[in-house]
Amino acid sequence: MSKVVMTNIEKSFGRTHALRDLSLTIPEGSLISLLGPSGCGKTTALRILAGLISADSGQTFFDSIDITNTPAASRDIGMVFQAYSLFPNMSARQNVEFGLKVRKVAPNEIKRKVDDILEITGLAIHQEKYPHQLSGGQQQRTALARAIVIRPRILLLDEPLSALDAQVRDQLRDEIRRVQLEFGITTLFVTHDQEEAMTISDQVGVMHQGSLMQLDLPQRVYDNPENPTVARFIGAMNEIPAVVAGSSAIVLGQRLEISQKSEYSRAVGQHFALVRPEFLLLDAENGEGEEGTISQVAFLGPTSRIHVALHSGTKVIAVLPSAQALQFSPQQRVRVSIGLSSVLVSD
Amino acid sequence: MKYVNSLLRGATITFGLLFFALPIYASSAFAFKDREGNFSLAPLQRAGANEELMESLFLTLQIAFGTVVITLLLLIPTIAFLHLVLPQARTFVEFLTLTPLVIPPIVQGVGFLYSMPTQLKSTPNALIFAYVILALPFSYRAIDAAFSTIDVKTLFEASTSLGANFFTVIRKVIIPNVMNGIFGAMFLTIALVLGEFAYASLLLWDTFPTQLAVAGLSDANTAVALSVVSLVGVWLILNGLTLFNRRGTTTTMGAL
Amino acid sequence: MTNKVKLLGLAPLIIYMGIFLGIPLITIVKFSFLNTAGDFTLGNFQTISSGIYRDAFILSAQLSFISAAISLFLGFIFAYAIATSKVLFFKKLVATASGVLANTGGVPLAFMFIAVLGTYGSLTSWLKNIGVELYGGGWTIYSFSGLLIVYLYFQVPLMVLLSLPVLSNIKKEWKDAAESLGGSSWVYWRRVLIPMLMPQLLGFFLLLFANSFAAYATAAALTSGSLALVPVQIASLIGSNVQVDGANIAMTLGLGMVILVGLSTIGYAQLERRSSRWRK
Repeated sequence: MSKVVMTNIEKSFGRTHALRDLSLTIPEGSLISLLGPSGCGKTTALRILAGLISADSGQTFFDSIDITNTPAASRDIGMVFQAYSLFPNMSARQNVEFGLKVRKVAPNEIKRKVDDILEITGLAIHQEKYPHQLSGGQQQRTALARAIVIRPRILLLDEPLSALDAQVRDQLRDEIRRVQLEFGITTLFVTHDQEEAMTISDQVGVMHQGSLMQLDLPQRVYDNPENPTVARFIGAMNEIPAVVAGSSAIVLGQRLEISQKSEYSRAVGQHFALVRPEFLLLDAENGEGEEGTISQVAFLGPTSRIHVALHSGTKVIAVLPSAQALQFSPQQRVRVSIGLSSVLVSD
Repeated sequence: MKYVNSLLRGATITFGLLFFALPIYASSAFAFKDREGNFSLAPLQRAGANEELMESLFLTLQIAFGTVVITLLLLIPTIAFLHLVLPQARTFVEFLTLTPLVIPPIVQGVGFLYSMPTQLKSTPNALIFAYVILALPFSYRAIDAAFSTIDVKTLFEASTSLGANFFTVIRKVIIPNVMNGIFGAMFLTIALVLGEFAYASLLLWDTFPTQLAVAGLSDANTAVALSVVSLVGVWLILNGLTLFNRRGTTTTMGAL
Repeated sequence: MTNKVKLLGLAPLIIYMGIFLGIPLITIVKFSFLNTAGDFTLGNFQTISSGIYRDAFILSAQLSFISAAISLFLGFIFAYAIATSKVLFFKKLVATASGVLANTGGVPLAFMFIAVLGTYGSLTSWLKNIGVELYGGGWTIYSFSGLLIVYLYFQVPLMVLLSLPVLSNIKKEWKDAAESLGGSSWVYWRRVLIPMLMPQLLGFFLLLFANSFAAYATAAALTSGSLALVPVQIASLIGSNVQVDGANIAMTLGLGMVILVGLSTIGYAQLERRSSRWRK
């Protein structure tokens, strides 16, 4: 278990600039997710950390020891891949033993450690099965056991859940977090799934076109996005026409402060305000805000999603507690306003 | 480590390419020269002037053509039928078409010689019937593999529902989709016929390989020149075919 | 349609194979149990299990075993290097070249090697120039080891052809996983790749063995029958009228080959099935 630091990593594949000046610190024992669409460089970052590919420039440290030029086999890492990484000619147990055997651990020690980890991951009853006899979830669980039995300095998870069914995915996700906390393993988790990243991470790093845009607590990434790119990528976002004038903007007839993190090209004129659905207020009476007509009410359980076509032509979505949503129905006229004092503005 | 690996790979590939290229280069150097040792195409000209050799080449091409035609006529309907109507018999037929591999050509040739009627054996076309069998393990696999990559039944149902009749479906839908397999089968069959020696020499027909062996006794340079040209020529034709047929036939060649 | 009626669709293929493969094979079996007078005998089997025929089987087996072992090794290494190389262009060229050499090779290969390593071959003279006398110690290209070299030129390509599809099923993740778990390339080969492919490799060995055992053209063209391999013996028995029971002996030898090659092929099929246990 180590503190892991990457500094100023650059990597290109031919003409594609996969990573731009990436610096990342993973505190000892914590789990950090790299989140982004495919091609954003998150997997490249993970593979550089693993030593499976080398960076064009920049350095990597485990506990302030420079391992930039250390080959993967000597880095003491544990890695779980998307799928198909189990050796097909070995049983689940033999797969888990592999890393210990390579390290020439004493046989009785191997037996004890493997028994322990199989117990913890619930694989004891499947240990004699071959990979093709295991379900997708069991296969990934075996891969996880194989990666952590060697007590790696860092655990690298490369979209380990993306090939699984929804139910198995949630279960295994929680299990990964449980095991990670139990062993206190420094972990880097790469995914394109926001929910996954948000639920199990200590910190989430949002990546876009090879750059790390924001690395923060899950809630801060959601509530205080560093810039419009992050705001648009995380969660749902309404884009409402806004007229910028100086340090404020007029949105839905309201004058609101422009957030520090806004990014737009012209000082004056037509832009968009980015507002999360839960910050839109609906009013059946003649209150503040712009008029619109409800087109659809979708019940989601504790909350409901209400689609409103504003009379100016913009379509917006509001999310309300279901109890409040009861008073609204399709075709109803409502007034829409924003329950914030400052908004993020973008082009 | 990465560096050492790619170095090893490069060395292996270089060694392998040399392994293939060296005899071709060295035998070309041996064959293509005149009395003074200068480069010369004279051996090939002598081969072109050798009527028996040229006749044998034409005969072999004729036999290759006949073998390809019968192979396709026999296999395409059978394999289409297997995929459409009788998929449960595929394993059996797959096994059946492997059996020629178990019986060496020389043994098949002896059996053929002692069992076939004289009328058949008195024409070189007899070889066509034998070569269809020799090529069967490869040609069947190439075409069957192509059929396996498409869902013949659904394609068939879809086109029938659009109003196409049986032959239209075969011609316009099925054949174009298995063309890479057909190309693979054709190539393998031709390659095999161009090199087949055992049958032809037992049945005493002067095909290209048997005449080449005869030529080797009298004019080594010509025989070597022709050997190089025929191997390199077939290789170039095959690469031309795979270029022409973008989906590539080379993988089905290994589908033994 | 009942299944019996459906089977009619297979009739053309089955009838064709029956006539052009079945009848020759039955003829072989029949003649093997007959003497020249047409009476039943087991004498032919006695004949082929001794003297020159027994030697022919031993020689064929030695040549086939050694050529299969060498080409298994060289062909696999080469195919692996090609399969993991990023130059797709090579892969195609090598695959097609292997197809040509493995299928068309026979006679042309024999002549090419006479040109390279024969008494006046280009490599022979070149080596002579730098002081290596190939033909000094009685070695010739027409000997056992000479024939072996030529056999490698259709055996190695066959192994490459067999290996390429198998290697394309190898997942990149396995090497990455082995590496991440602390295994070097050597460990990956020894503990993962080779054990995983072992049944298939043994199967390929048997196939290479059978292929070499059945080969006739190269030996005939290169040695004109001076190396008495089994196919060479069969051809010379059929070609000469000296021996009265020549045809019967030839066919008995043929049956012997069928049994040997058949056993290898069955072994191959068994191993192939066992290895599919791990495949999905």
